[in-house]
Amino acid sequence: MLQPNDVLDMSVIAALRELGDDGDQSLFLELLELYVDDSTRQMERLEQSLHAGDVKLSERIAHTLKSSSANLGAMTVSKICFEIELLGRNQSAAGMSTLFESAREAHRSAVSALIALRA
Amino acid sequence: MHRRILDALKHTGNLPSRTGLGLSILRLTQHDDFVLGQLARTIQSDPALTGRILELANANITAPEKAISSVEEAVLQLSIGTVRSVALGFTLVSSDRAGEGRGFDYDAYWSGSLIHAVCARHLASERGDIAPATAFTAALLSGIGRLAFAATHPEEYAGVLETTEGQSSKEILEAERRELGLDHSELAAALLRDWNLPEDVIHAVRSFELDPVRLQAPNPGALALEHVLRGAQRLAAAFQSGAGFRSPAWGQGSGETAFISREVALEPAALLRLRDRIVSEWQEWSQILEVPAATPAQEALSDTAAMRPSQPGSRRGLRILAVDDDPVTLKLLRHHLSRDGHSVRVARDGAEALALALEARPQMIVTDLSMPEMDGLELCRALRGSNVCSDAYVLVVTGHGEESRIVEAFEAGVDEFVNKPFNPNILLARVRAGQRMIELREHIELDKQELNRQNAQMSILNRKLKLAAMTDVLTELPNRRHAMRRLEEELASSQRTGSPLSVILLDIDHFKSVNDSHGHDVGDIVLRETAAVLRGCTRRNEEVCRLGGEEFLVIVPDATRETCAGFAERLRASVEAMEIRIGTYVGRVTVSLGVASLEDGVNTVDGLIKLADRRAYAAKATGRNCVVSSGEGDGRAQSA
Repeated sequence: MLQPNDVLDMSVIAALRELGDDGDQSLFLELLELYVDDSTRQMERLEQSLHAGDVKLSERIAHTLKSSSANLGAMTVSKICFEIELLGRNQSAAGMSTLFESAREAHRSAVSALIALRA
Repeated sequence: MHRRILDALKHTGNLPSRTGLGLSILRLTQHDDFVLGQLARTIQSDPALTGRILELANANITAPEKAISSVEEAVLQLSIGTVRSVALGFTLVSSDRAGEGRGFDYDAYWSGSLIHAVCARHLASERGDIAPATAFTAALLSGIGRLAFAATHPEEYAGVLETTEGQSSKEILEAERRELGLDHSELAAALLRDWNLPEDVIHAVRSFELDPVRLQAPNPGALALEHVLRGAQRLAAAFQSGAGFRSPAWGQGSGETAFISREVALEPAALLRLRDRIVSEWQEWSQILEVPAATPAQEALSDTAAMRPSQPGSRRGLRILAVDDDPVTLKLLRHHLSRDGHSVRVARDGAEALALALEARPQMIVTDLSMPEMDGLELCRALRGSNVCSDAYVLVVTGHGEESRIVEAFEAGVDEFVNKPFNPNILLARVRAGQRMIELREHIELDKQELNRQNAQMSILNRKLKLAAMTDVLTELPNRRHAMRRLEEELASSQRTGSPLSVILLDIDHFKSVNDSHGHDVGDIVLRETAAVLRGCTRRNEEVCRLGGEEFLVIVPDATRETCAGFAERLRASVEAMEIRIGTYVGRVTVSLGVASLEDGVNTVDGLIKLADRRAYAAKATGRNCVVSSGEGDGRAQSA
């Protein structure tokens, strides 16, 4: 089960692996690729929008990252993104930028853990 | 053959149009501030509709040299209202093309015509000697003969398509002439002539595929247009092959480039410059068209067919539209839902979803709550307000922290929600619950339709019964009940307005002896024939009724006693002149008539009829076959 500092929730990964028939991993691998590509792009967009001081857009991107990360079991990323989203709702731009660094860190770990699963 | 096919196509409404085009036009004209150009552009995405609009615009043009060849001009020529109603009526009526033209790939035809048109416009504008709009129209309509064959001769044309698959256009044209008596370019030219399109457009469409045979062009403009169509077709073919211009064959100096360059008299370098412009315009068009275009971006649209309403008896899956801005969620949704037997289409935001929903009419929409552009709730409100998808079942997927919006969501018309990240089993359970609701609703809708149908039948039956209750079965004349009611109405009206009113009571002479000596069958025939003669003599507001036996009443509104007596005399003479032939028997009958009028001082229906009856009796007494219109109880005192 999920420990606070776990990078990935392996029960989510296990459920995703079982999506294909007869142990077919192709759907799982596709989802993994999709997440790695899309979330990396969203992280970059988040950084730019925070830099530009666009609180509303940042909140939206954090919202999307929150649910897509949860889909792949990247719970820490999801949790931090949720906090960024909440701060965005309260118009706290400074707090968002501070949290972004830890979100990026968590995302990096999650991505490398996911890439390791590909093998 | 030629004439027959043309006749079949007398109205271009017989040519099938793209599904969903009508809805695009609805969407465009929903707002008052829609742009004229946008409407024209949408019309142009359909060759059959374009033909119809041009035909209408040219119907008012008398001088051939002023014939209109561009949709924009046609839209200006006709009123916007006309264009709108024609476009809508036309496309909605013909939008269901199921069962037509086996083996004919409509989507390929439509997208092929459009890319041909786009290429022709760019070539024309690069050359500068032909109006780009004319080149566009000519290319768009150039393949309409094929569409016409598929619509009018589906079986024969399917055979032609089958045997000529993969062959050159020359071989296809020959096969068409062999099997159908004419080829699609002749047919297209004939159609365009029928629609009064300009002569150079007709020539170009007729000739551009005949290479290397060349027809004599009526003028240099027609020849130039022919070249442009031919070049544009080669360009379009490259596009449709999927290679675009990226394949090595399209390098500068390659065979294809050289051919087109020669054909359209443009430098190869100029031709290659056109490439990017065409690519970007084609992308825009494929948005409007929503047909599979040979670009990866359109991949998601290729499963349009899966979203068509399911046939009765096919397995019970729902048409579901899934909407989410996160591609991972979208892929998971599609996976789980299609595995559960549903046909799924996907959209990345609310605006895209709305457009798709209007076209594909999903039964259920599974949507994310927060999305860029248009969020889940705005989408839901827009759908609830639309005519097309107002009853789709909406299941919203809510993320962590969005609980506060759930109440708002239900107010916006959402039916159910599920939390994100979703547990697939819970998601599918909620979808199934929704499916029960949808099926229940569809059953109710069917029951309602059935009820309406029965109601309609019932009211028809009621009307028939009412008519039967008022009609004499033998003579089909109104019966005594109707006569009394009608006379009451006429009397009331006369008393109100002071206008005259008269009646004639009429009795067939010696009818009893006809029955006795020739039988009741002959008696019935005599009654029917007499009724027919009397009916033939009456005018609009006069009415002949059968009171019973051999007795008839003629109601004559707005007639004085004198006028009515004249009318009665005509009736008498007409009956006397009638010959009734039954086998070898030839018979004649006569009638005795009594006329009564309000002038006689009676003021009740009963009084009028009784007076007329007494006068008819007096007519019998004076020797029959005559009219009595005075005496016998004139005045109130004797009417009782």
